[in-house]
Amino acid sequence: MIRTFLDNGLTVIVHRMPVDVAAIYMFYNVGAKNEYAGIYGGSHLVEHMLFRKIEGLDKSIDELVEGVGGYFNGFTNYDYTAYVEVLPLESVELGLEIESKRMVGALFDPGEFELERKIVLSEFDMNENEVDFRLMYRASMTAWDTHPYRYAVIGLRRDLNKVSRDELYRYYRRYYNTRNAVLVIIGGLPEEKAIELARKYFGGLGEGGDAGSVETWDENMPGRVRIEIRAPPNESPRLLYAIKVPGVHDIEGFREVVLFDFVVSGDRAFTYGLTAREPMAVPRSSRLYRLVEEGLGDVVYSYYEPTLMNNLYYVIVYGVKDPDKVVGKIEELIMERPSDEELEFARERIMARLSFSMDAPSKLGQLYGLSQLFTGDPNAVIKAIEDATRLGSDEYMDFASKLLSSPIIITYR
Amino acid sequence: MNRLFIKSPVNDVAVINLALNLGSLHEPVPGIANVLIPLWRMSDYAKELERVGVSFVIEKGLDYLMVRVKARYSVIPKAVELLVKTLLNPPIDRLDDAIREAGTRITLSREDVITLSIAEALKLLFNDHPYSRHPTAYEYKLTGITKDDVRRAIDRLRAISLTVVAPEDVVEIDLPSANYVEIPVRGFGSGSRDVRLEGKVQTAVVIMYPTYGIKDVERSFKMDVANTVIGGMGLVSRLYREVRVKRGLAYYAYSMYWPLGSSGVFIAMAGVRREFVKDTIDIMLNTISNSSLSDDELAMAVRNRIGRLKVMKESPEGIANVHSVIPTYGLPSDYYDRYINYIRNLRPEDVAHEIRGLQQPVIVTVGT
Repeated sequence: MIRTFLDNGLTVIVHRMPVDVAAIYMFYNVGAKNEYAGIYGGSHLVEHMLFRKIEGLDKSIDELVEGVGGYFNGFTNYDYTAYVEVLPLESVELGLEIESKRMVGALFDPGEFELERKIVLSEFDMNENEVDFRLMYRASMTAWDTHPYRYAVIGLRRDLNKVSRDELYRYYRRYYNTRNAVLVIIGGLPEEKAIELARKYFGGLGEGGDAGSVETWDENMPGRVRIEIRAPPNESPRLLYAIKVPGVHDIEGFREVVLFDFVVSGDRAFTYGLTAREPMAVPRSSRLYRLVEEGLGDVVYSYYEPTLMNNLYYVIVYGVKDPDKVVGKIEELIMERPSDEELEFARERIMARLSFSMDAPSKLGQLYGLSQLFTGDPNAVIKAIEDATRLGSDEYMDFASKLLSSPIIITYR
Repeated sequence: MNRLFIKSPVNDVAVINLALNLGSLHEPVPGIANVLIPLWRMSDYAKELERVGVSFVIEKGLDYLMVRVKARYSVIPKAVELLVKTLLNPPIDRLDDAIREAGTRITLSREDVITLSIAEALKLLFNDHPYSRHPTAYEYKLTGITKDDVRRAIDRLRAISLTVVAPEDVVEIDLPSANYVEIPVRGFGSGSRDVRLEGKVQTAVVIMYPTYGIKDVERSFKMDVANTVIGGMGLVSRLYREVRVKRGLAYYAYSMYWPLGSSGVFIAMAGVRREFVKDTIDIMLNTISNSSLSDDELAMAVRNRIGRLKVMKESPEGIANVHSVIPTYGLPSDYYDRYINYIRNLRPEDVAHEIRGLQQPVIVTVGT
């Protein structure tokens, strides 16, 4: 892997893999963390607009990429917005051309903006159809009052309905610039060639605009909170248990989260394969599955994704009959000192999952890009994951003991 | 056993796709695969697999049950041994727990409006054929499944195919094998169904057509291209443009073509607010029935299919997923070369003919 910086400040990360494709990612350091009252959800709406008309591209992005069989997507997250093309090697320059034009040439046509507003609201509807989304959103609104993570990434309906095209265009012009971006090229291209192409397509871009980095901060959780929500008869009763865990800004804390996660939940994808699903299921050997083994629930899973600032770690148990017993058991599972065998299990699975997360361009590109964005070092996240395997039961217990002071518990039945 | 080995581009990871005769099509008791999945995972052998860092899922489909395994190459011999022991030795004493878990999983699948709408459409389209039973969202009567049913299912367990993507061809699986056997569809159903669920904001619309199965090789190639044009090519597809890009009615609007072993289905989908359902169905039906096709549109669809084949093979699991249809259905080893050659020579009227030939669909809506 090589990292270099262009004169205009663009960070470029390249890595060669023995495949006939290349993944091109452009990460921007802007996401929900940069939003404020009136534009919650705006980063995501901007992402949608960047698939519409772009000056300098003679066709739409979808037409260009689909026309060569490529995969493309955009992701808006708490901390960043990323765009990706996975392309046959012979079409790699297409991705670079798209990303260079997208950075500066989005037109935000007013008619298209209104259509995308409707589409994003439809996406909100789709999310709201999912019970788990509704519960996690509720937990998020309970965990924070004024922090920008409060409304997750999808934002607020009220803001999405009202935010103007001009305001989001200014937001785009402010944060989409070379100094606030990381370009990652992974795949069958020699690294020198990849850097040469990065210079060709991005070297001529100017430097204006702001950085999206923010001071990391958090709000204290309001102590133990319990919320009861009535479930309609066609939906399975469940319990959501949420605790706050450190963000990647605290790299040592992140390392502890990784060990905690693999001890408690047994597995976690560090990156997501974009072009094929990885075989993944909650391991029965994990602690969480004891809830099912002991008949406290029928199905269980946990959800967590690394973010820059502290965020919530969710456990969801389905088919719950006695919520109090479930809560007690979850806390008991978290606070149990891990045995040597459990630590070995967690270490094996961490290292296996790390291998699986680095075996394809679209996966490795995420790891390098996020790591650069979060820490300024493309290898730091990989190193922290590896370091998690060197932690022991004392470190686990120190970490776990800080987690249970203010859980959010939502019963849906 | 039909097997296929492909050398992996990465040295330290291996993927195994093992297809078993326990899809909806060949289950001896409907729903028994849904129960076997948690039962298998409860076994000590499965837990040992987890302990050596193996990641695996067991997914029930319409034609087969697929065990997908991913492991570091160094543990593959151990993983294969444990996998076979897992499959042959489910802890039958825990059947009640497995039935309860499987039941909850089916309830959760049926909460999802997209999955439920497909399940209901399959029921309407395939009548009493086994394809009428969605693998994970049909209303299976699991409580009637007995320990003897489980024992018989294990006795009759057969491997249909094995696909291995690894640095070296070292994987052998010691399981009885059988070829995939078709069950012909005697007649397709028709009609529509509207399912109301409390607590939903958005309604899923599914329009499902019967079409060619995978063994009807050339026509399934044509149908694949037709699907690409209609709704399988992301944002450029006709459905996406008409429903989302031009009108902003939905976040998702697309189509899928499932070339199964005993039939095929073409499925068009969108998610909209209830008040737009009728208009959306009209737009979707008009879009699908438009059989005019330009040279440029066809050329783009063909380029898309050929390029996408490469892109889907960027990871070991992608390679396994793309190629496992070959041993599973006994397709020629040069299946994808034939596919590329065939679709390169298609004319617009060939694809238009397939679009015009689509039979009466079933239409299902699921929402609030």
